[in-house]
Amino acid sequence: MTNWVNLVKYFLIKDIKSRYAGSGLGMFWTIMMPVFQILLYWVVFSTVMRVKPHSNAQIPYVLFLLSTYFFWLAISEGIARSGMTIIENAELVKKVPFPIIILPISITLSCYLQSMVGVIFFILVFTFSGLSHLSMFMIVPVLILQLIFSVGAGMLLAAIIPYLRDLQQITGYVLQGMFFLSPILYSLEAIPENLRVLTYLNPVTLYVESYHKIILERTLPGLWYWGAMAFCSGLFLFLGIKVFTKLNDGFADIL
Amino acid sequence: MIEDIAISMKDVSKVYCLYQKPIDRLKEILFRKRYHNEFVALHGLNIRIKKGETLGIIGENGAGKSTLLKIIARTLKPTNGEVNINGMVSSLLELGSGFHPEFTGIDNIYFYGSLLGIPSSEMKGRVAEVVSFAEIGEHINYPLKTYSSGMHVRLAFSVAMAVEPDILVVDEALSVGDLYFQKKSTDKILSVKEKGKTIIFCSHSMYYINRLCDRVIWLKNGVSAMEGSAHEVTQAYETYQLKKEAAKSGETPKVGRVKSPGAASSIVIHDVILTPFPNVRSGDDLTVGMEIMSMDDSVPYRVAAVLFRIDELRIISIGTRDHEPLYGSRKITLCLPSLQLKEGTFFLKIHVMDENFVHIYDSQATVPFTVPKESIEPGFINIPYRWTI
Repeated sequence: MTNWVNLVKYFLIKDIKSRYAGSGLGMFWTIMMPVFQILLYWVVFSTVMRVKPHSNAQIPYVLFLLSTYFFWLAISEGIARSGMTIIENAELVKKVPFPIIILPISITLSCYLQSMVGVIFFILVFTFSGLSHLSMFMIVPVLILQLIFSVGAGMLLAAIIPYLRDLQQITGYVLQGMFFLSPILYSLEAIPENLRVLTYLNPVTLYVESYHKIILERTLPGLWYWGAMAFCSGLFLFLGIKVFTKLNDGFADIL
Repeated sequence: MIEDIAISMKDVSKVYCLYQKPIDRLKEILFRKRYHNEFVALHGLNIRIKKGETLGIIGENGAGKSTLLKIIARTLKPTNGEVNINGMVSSLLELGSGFHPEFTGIDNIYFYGSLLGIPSSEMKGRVAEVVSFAEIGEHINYPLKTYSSGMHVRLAFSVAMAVEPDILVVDEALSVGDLYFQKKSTDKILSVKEKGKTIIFCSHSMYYINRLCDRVIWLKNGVSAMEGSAHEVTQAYETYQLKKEAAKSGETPKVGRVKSPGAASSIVIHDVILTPFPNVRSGDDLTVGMEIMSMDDSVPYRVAAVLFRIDELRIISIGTRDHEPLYGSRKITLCLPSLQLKEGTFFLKIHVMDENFVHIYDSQATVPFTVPKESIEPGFINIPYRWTI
């Protein structure tokens, strides 16, 4: 087991090192890109389109966006990059016998670690706006559940994509769909009734809504939410491990 | 499982599914119809390797050697059959494929160890050994991307050996790096053999196979064509190869300077002189004078001569086995008194080798000489005989 921890650690460092290899500003870019994106959304929604995308009047729209955007980034990056990890590490998979399942796990963790820099950035901004509160720490269990979901989904895709490479293209569209069908850019109430059903089918909605409740509304998500999140995370983890171990042996053949 | 068996393979097969287009793989899943061609790389192989044994694997390209080695190295799963491997395997198949360019040499040592399941606490004790064996010195603390390819391969070899495997898988590249390190790496592999570890060795060089292996398996189209003692199997294999070549064309084999690949030799054969020449008569004394140049007087070497018929049929090998190893540049002479060759064209190949007759520093073939036909009886060699009538 300690060896697994060691390996995950090595792959984590490896990923982060190769990500910032040769870049002078390193971590700075991890925050800059999403912040730029958020500014764009802000300008488009509140200035150009003059809509009021969220119902909470006390919280500025930028903070509404920031409150969940980095968590979403962790999910989307984690899933997208896990999906490619077997193909990217083909050499290793084909030539060195080691527990391959460590690859999607460590790449997901790496994405989460990097997104957490953004989350810290948000918490700082939130605190400077005088809005932070102690009960915000309740996001930690939500984050853990979200991480389990991500790891599971990552394993699932990591295992299938080498067999069905087209799925990698589709993943991009699905992630985009999940982004717009979740209350990240706008609150749930802003979504028309008939579309809201779809939103609830999206597992991301569960986590995002929980963050909103804890951070912005200062309440805890209901039991129903916790149950659904736990179920969703458990299901994906189970599926991920099951499918990965099933397809594991064939990687060396198809790469 | 019996204690002294290192590897046992029962009825092992490997079938590769070949798809013409990636979409076929998808179609197969969706329509449950066969869209692939099968390629059988290994077919019903049964192998038992005892602990401490050195098993050689020979065969032509595409015979399934690499597939077999990969299965033993556990990077490939067999399609059918049972594989039991008793002990830790390290392979010299793809040196350094687990390495990461951004990590320092030290980090890569630990990383490789973790990949193979060796805890860093255990690796710690071996790091010094790896660093000194690879002779990388200060550079060990710099990222791997700054290494020369020689340093890279030296480090990879040292790490693969330092994990102290019970079973070592070696593919062709018995020796890596420059001439000096090549010698060092062959010695290291020999020492592993002496320690009683199991070695699986695959090579096209029948010389190495004969020198190192206790037992040899000849793979032919994924099945074991022959299995037995090294000289039996290699001989059968060489005969088969010769026949195959002869069937293809009647062209004469090339003769000339044959250098071991990539060797910037520090010991070279400068000159080989044959007397008498070009016509040698049966019963003449044949002398081969050779001049050997050594750049480094401290490196011991031995000399071997192999007499071939022009079609590369090996007649006899003669090494300076009974003499002390030689040092430095010198001239030596080999005399074959009263040469008992009858008719045909022959040549000698001279090898300068390390003191164990494993590593070849340099090779040179003499120009061919002809022994004219003097007897009406066919054959190319005289051996003593007596009729009792």
